Amino acid sequence: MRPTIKLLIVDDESRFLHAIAARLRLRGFEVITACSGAEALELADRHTFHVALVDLKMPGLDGGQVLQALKQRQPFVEAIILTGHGVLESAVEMSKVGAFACLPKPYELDLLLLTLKQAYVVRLKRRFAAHPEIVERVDAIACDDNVIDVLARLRELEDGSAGS
Amino acid sequence: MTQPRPEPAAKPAADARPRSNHYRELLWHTLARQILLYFLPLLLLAAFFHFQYRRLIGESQRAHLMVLAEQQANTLDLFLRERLVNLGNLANDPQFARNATSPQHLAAALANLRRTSEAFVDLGVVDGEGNLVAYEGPVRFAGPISYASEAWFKRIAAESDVSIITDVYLGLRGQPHFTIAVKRQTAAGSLIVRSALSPDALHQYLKSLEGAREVNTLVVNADGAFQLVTGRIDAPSASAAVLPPREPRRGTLDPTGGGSMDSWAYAWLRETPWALVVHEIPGSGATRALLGRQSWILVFTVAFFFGMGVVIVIRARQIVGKQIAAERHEQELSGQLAHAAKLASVGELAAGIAHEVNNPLAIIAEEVGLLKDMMDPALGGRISPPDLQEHLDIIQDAVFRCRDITRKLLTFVRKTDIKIEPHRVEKILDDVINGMLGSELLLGNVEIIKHYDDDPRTVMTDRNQLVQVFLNLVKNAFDAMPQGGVLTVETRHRDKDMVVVVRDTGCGMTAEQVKRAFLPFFTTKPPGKGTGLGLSVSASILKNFGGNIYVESAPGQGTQFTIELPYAMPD
Repeated sequence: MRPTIKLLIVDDESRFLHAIAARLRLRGFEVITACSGAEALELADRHTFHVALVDLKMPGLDGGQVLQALKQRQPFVEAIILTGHGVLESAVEMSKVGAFACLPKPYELDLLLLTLKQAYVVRLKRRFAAHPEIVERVDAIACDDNVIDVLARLRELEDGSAGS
Repeated sequence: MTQPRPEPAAKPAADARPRSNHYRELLWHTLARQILLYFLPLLLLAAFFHFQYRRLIGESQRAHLMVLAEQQANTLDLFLRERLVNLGNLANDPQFARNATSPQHLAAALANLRRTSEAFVDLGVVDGEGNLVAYEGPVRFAGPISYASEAWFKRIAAESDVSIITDVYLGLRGQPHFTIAVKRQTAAGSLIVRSALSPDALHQYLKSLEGAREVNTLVVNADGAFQLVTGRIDAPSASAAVLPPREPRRGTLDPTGGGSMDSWAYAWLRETPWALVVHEIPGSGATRALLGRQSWILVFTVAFFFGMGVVIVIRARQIVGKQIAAERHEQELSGQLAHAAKLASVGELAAGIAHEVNNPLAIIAEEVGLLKDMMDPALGGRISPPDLQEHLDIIQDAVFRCRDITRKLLTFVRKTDIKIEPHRVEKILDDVINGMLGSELLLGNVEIIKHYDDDPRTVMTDRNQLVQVFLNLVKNAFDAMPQGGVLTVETRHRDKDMVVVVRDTGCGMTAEQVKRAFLPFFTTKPPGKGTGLGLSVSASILKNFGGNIYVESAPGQGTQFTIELPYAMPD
């Protein structure tokens, strides 16, 4: 079985959570969902995630706080903030606390997948910043248009390079 | 905690009554003010000059009369002295003394006297005992006549070489007359020559004097009895209405008192204790000229006042017209301000609502995507009707969620007419808190505590405007608590009004900010976030309802807004 990309999705809208999780699972991601920031951080103690999708406005911990806490636990995780608010303001604010991107709801799935790919590429580049040859290979793979395929190959690359 | 009572942030809305009424009221107000300002001092001045003028006229009139009285008194004195001199000359005539008892002689003497003055009526010679020894005149005496008991004879008998003038009396003939007598000491004893003088002649004489036409002249004796009367004063009677004082010897009288236009003047004679009194015939001579001038002045004054009145009315209409125009302009501006504020808060609200709409939209997008995935053979492509049903239900729910949100937005934005109806304020507060901002407050970790009064009384108000006020306050409270906190909403019912308190545990305001809280365009929010109109418009809305809004705040201790809202709208 091919290694999968492990996603954490945090949103207080459970129906949204279920739908997006189902769709991403169909596309080969391993998805773990959380209904609140607190639950997400609890999960983060038990799982290592590659990329996190976090809703901005939530009761309790909001997206920004979850993101910061998550980054403390897992420095290489990349986070994409989902928001129903105006994107620009949130994006500026969130990039300050280390979000990779802000995605306005509702979005096209292709855009989400593309953003996931880019986020994963960035994760790999940060993780293997000391290995230029790996970064080069990441760039080469990322050129391809088929996002699912690219992600699968990159995932394999990460596992294969982990030891080096 | 500071507790300022802020000035009303906006002018209370203009009068709701019909404009014409308002116009008339304003016009009367302005007119009254102008008349008070211009007419009153003028009127006082006019009255002052009027009375001064009357006083001056009266004074000059009295002075004129006094001169007249003195002149006439002098003339009368002169007349009487001449008569005494006539009689004295006769008495001194030795030839007369010798033939005093001869009737022919006496008749000739009387004729002589009458040539000097028509006033001489008769001529008599009286001896030392008062017996009439010779007489020439119109009276035919039946027997011997004695004057011994007459007052004038007693006076003349006591002295020598005197002359005397009696008061007017009816005497033996029953005709009013007065007597002048002269006493001379001769070798044969006392010779007293007496003559009756007709007051008629005196009367005619007085009437012929200069200036006599303007006045009534009367002569009174020391006791105030009429001696002579000219003109239209009451007919001669025993006592006159006026008795001039003995000192000073001449002056003016004011018998009616109180500065009437009736003027009297008097002068005492020297020859006899008579006073000559003149009384101006009303409406004659000099007085008439002066009074005529005064009536012209009155006409001019009235015309002047009328002219000024016209000017004042025209001016007042202009002023009121301008004021009305200014008021209307202000009203329009305030209306525009309120509308702008409404639009601005709608804008702020829209941002919140976009979030609310985007969430269900995202659900729909995901569900539709999922359904597509399920029908996609490349991804497995299997879907059962129950599955389909479940996802379609979710989509429908989300669509209705969107509809509810947009409907709420429309309720808020829709331009509705002001409808004053009884509303339960607690219900409106609930609508605002639950309906419009509930989810946002929930997201911001704000706990909401409600302390509502059980009193079910309603308030006559416009729901939309009150919603706007509460929305502003709740939004402000929410904005003041980005880290979460407690929003307390209280209501208290009192006698005539109710109190609504909205309290937050947010960042609070400095004293300076509190002072300016209700000023238009004052905001503590970053640029682009707030318009600074919310509180100012809220204050103006509450003012229109006859209510009030106060703020208490201190940095770090939260903010409390207190609203007083009367049950009934002011008229």
